[in-house]
Amino acid sequence: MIELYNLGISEETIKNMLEVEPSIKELSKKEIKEKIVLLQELNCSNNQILCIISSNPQYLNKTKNEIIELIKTLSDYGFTPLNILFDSNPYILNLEPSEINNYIENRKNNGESLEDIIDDLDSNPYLFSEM
Amino acid sequence: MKLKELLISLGYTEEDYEIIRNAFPMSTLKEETLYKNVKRNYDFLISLGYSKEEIIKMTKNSPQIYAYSVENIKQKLEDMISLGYSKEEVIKMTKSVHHIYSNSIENIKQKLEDMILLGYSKEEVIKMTKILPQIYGISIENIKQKLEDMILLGYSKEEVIKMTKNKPAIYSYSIENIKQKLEDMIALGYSKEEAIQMTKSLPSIYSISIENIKQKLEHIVLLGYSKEEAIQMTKSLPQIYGYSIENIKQKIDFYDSINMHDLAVIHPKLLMQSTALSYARYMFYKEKGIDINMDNYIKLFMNSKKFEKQYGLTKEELLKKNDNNKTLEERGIAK
Repeated sequence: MIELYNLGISEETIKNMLEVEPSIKELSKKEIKEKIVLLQELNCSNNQILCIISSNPQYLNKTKNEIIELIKTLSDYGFTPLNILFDSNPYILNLEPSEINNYIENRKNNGESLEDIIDDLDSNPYLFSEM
Repeated sequence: MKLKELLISLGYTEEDYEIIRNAFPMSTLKEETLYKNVKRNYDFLISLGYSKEEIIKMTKNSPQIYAYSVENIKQKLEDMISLGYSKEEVIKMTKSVHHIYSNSIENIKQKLEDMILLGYSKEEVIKMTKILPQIYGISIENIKQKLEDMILLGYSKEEVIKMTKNKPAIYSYSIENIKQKLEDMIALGYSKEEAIQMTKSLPSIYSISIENIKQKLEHIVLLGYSKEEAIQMTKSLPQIYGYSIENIKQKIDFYDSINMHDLAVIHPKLLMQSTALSYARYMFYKEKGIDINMDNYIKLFMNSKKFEKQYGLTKEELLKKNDNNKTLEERGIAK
């Protein structure tokens, strides 16, 4: 948990994070560090990393490969840059690739173009909550 | 070396030894056999990626792991992978729910099928159980009852399925606790319909204590809004209750710095946009001699495609142009 303090997250916020996601207290230093590094590799600033993790502690509980797969799915659709996307809606990191695929397919089946759907999601990150 | 000495050398206490030795079926095994099992299985679990501390915790809670053959454990792993989990995910799940190794795969498959019959897709059940493997320990009758109780509260079945897909812990809360949370929200100033609507958008509200919710409201008030404005903001953007105080403050401070304090009340959903992007666009317009204020703030939130078409800059180019992140932090707007 020291890694969370090192990010600049306050004691009060860490307490709130544990309330929402109690199992993060069982995470090893390595497990937390690798999630921070993944965000750094997306060019997230220290501030963005603090905001993403402190607002979405569930992210810390995902496996590294789950996150990599999600990043690949979003990148393949053309969402860029991902640091801005995740900073806009940290809860996108909780989604499964299949949820994003299904949502986009449903909208395509309703006649929308892929380009328009991606632009809509990218510009209105709130829409990811509908998935 | 005797079994007790072996266990102590691996990090167990004497008390742990008693628990393991006397648990069924270990109590039926000869000391020599159990010694070999412990040594073999311990090494195998280490090779799978468990830490020493995790193995001790798992085997204290489920000592029968030391009665299994390595082939049994491998088979369970393969069975779970064939259901749709990755090896990494199974290892992670079993760290918190050790009895997955002792649950028969037929029981696990049955739970999956029961959940599908309730209305979940297989992918949704896999997601839920990855987030909360303890779902495998909740009886389907309890899950059905909770679903019905939630429908009686005012949710549709589809809404409960969506909420619990994202926040399966709802199935571990008593309906009394859920009702209490709704009543607490009403006492804060929301109508029941508003509270229900907010939880559809942010099911984690059921995990957040009312003290935490009140604390967030107080922080928003300290940032210069009335309580009524804070309530209004959260109705439109319940995600505010999920954001950390640091995140909320950073967003509000930024919009305060460009004299757009009221944006959070007038159009709370726009708070979601990364302040790095908002700042980049703000500076872009400033360079063009366009002053962004509360009359034309929507320019900061233009669709990416439209912005690119109008100004010939992609998001990446815009951000690079302004070297945002450093600037925000340098300005002390971000931490």
